[in-house]
Amino acid sequence: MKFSTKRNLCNKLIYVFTFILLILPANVYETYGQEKPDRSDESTSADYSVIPSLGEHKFTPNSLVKDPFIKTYIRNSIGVGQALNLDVPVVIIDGQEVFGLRGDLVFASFDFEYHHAVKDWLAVWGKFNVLARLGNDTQALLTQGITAVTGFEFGWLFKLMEKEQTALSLSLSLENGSATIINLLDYINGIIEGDRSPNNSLVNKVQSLRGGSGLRFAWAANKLFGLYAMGELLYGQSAEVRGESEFFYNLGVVFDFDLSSFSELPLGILLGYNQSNLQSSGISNTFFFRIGYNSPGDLSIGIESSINKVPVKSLDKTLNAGLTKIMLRYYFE
Amino acid sequence: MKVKSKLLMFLLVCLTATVNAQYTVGVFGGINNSNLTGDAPTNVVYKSTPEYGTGLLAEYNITGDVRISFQPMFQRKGTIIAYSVFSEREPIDSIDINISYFSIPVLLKVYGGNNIMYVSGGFDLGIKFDASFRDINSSTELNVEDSFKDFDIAAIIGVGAQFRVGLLYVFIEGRYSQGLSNIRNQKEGEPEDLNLSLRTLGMQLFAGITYSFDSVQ
Repeated sequence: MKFSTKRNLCNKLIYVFTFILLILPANVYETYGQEKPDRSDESTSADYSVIPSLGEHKFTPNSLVKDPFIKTYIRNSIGVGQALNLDVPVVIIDGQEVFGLRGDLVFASFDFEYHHAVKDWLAVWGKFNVLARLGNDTQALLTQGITAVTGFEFGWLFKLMEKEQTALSLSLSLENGSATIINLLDYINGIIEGDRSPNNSLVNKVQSLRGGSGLRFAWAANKLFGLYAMGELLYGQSAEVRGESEFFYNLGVVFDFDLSSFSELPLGILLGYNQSNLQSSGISNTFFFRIGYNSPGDLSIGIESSINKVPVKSLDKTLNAGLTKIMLRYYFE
Repeated sequence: MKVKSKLLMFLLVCLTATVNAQYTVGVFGGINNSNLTGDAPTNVVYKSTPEYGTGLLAEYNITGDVRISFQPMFQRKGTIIAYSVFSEREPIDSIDINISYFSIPVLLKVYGGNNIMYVSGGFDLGIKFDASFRDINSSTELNVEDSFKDFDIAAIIGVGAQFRVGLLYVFIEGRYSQGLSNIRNQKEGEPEDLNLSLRTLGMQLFAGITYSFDSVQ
């Protein structure tokens, strides 16, 4: 009891402090008599916008390829996905065929990010994400063990260059992920083979810590068309039980079409592609589409759809998963 | 005593070396909500435990709003090991692990436009002093120094604010500390099942007082 009370008090203090720091910038100006930037005129102007732009092109944010802009914003996305037509092979327990069926996996994703521009050349960010399986098919659940993945990431973003039509930034980041894996099949086989060691457990929690660096690039070709590109190299643990450390890469490109450039529609359409080996099981490919509304000022909201082709070691095949998200980003400055 | 004297000398050298040139020195302390992450044996959960840290700091202004900060400090890290018991819904707090470090965080601090808020980031090299294992139920305490490595390297990111009070500055800072290296020392003869990979983790809240040698400007 004593330890729990102390721990709770400690946690509360830290959360309260963090919250105060987050809201402090808004109050600091008044408290210390400094002039607060006056945006009253700007906010009534149709030209006022904090949504990133280069030249005449206004960029629509997305969650596939990270952008190079030094901005303060919060981002939140929530989505549902499904792995379709997952062929479960014949499962053999103690030499006997148990089943070999076809099933679906349903999963939900949620992430929240706060990105803060400290200077015009430096931003820091923190991100929290959850991926949880909702699962509706017993056979698929039995063979595909990952039930929940949570991750926390923080990093620094340095502006290297910004010109009329291009921007380039360097990121440094650290990610701490945790996956809860229930592997009933291996557990049963282990028991049958007499493995009663702690290594043969039904529920495993796998930690993966990775750190790395990346380059983020944006190019505005004209008022209608822009492009994001990103490359990251990370080193750290694989998301496997007692996995070894290795290198990971993450590459992506997104083509950005701003429909407001030639019409009254304040919409942005994005098409993208991403390749990475972050899953530890091999190279995964993602094809991405987004349609989103950009407010004249500081809000961007959109629907994102992606098709992910992810190799699965235990099935020795590629899993096709679709994911649809609602993503909202609000810019403060 | 010998170790303490050497550390004191080291701190004095660190401080006097920078004081002569410029700019900021100070003291700070606070709480470290510490935990361990990594491999956990079956039915075991690592829980955070409140520890503390205190130290001195010396900062050098690289530019008007960017500083490099050396913060030699003493801090304790650790965890509560809780076991899942069949008859209980929640894991039971059973073992308290404490590891004491003399650590040297080297941080880059970048101040925002108002010169009050800042962000910090960098690395922290910890040199182990001692480590103890305490059975919470029986209060039995053991020295488990050999079970942990001598060094711990952690990445730090933080956000803070400083306020001027006369000639001094008072600051308060929240930090996230993530250990990068495995601190578990596998001893000879231990079963392979106990070859666990463990890293430190901490949410820290520090406050302190600093004096800037250019603050008279």
